[in-house]
Amino acid sequence: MEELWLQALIWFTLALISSFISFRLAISAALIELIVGIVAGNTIHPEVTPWVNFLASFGAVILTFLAGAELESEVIKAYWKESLVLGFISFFAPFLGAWVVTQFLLGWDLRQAQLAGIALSTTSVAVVYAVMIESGLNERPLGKLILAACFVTDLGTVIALGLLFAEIGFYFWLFAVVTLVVLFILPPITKRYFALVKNHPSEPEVKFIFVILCALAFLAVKGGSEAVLPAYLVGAVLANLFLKNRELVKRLRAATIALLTPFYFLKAGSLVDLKAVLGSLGVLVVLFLTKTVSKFLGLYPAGMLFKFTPRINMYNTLLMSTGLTFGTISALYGLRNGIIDKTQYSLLVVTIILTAIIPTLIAQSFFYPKKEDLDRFEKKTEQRG
Amino acid sequence: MFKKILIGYDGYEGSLLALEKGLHLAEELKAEVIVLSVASIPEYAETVSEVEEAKEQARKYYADVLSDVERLVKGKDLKVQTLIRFGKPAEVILHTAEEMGIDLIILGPSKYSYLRRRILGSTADKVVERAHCSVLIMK
Repeated sequence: MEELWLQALIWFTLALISSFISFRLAISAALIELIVGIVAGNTIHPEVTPWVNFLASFGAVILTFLAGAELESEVIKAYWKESLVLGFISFFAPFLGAWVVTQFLLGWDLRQAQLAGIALSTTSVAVVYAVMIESGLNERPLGKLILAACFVTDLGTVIALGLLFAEIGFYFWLFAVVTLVVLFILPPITKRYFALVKNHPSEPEVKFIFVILCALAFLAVKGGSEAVLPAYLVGAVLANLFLKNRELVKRLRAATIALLTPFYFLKAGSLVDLKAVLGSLGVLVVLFLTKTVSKFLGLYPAGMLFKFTPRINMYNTLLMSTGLTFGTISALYGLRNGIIDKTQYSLLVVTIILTAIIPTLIAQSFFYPKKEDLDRFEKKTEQRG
Repeated sequence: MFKKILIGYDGYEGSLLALEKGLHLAEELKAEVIVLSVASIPEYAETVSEVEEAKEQARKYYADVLSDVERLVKGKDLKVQTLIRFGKPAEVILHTAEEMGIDLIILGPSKYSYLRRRILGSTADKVVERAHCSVLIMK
């Protein structure tokens, strides 16, 4: 029994250290936890016990649910054409680019290359949102369009992860049918249930969400799919309800960030083999360039089509080249299911960390959108009706 | 000489000095004043709600901090506007100054240690280096 408490002490100490660094540097705990996890995994080797695995997996599911629940359907409706085009290009260009490069240049097998494609196709809505707040872009039509496109990209990622490696059989179809039915009936049922139990101190709303997500996660895994797929979709269909209930989001987020996500990010980091990364720096550069260049080749021409000014186009391309949560979720899925080995996992995770940092730094330093650019874009949008 | 002055204010001792002296200077020059507080938000966030929550907390904190301005301006013939913006302080100060056509930026001395300033640089250093207009550091 004392072994359990010792392990808990080690993991929570790492989480506490990460929180403190995050507080001092004003950098999100997620990125710091990943980095602290990498350091710990290559020095003190904290044990990844079954309960750590559970908390980490549940953390990934709830985090994905929260990401889906932040989807603003009104924004997608307002910019459906642009967001669908940019979002799908932002998913498909790096997905195909990374697939081709890893399979034909780096010699990874088909499934490994597809997994790399998924892990490097992501865009981080939260990273993009935080950058846009600095320029006030999040309040302007262009910012809303970019965010809507990021949601579409994430949707592409979770669908690909949920379906590409699924074993199509009875349980898969059961999962698919049940998920579709749940997605259809859940919003009205949840609305009524929330109205019935509203804000009771025993947190019946949070537990209801946990039950739905665990049930669909069980069916997804039983059907050979991935638990984050239904989590994102459930989040998306409940988004309007959650956008009106900020207090509930806050409570759910507090529980998740305190107890679940540290285990997810610390574990994801602890599995990175730094020696393997240092021994393959060339591959790391290739993976990083593959993601950023393929995003550029796909998104920049699309931006020209929508009459983005060159500065705005470059800013958008760089922001949509970021990635963090879904990228690590995909890589960890690949490692857990034996699709990729530890070296490939390590290279993918370090690439994902680099893509969270480098494109945002370049965007902020050299392509900060000027007011006249934004005014010009909005004028053009108005003229197009 | 200076018609529009931006004063950076975060509630700490050094910036309070900059605020007091800056308001005095603006009164002498009959200049318009913008008092800007910049709140950091977590970079590379996990969720949008994390950023939103940080924004909400910062807004509450700086609303309180900026009440100092009201106290100091009371009874003075000054046109003063207060602003709360989010992001990296130096970047936000520079962009705001450019956007609002500021011709003088006033800041207080850094609140951080010499070592931290040497490693990470200070807001004042970055603003002095890159500002499009004059910068005055009050001590």
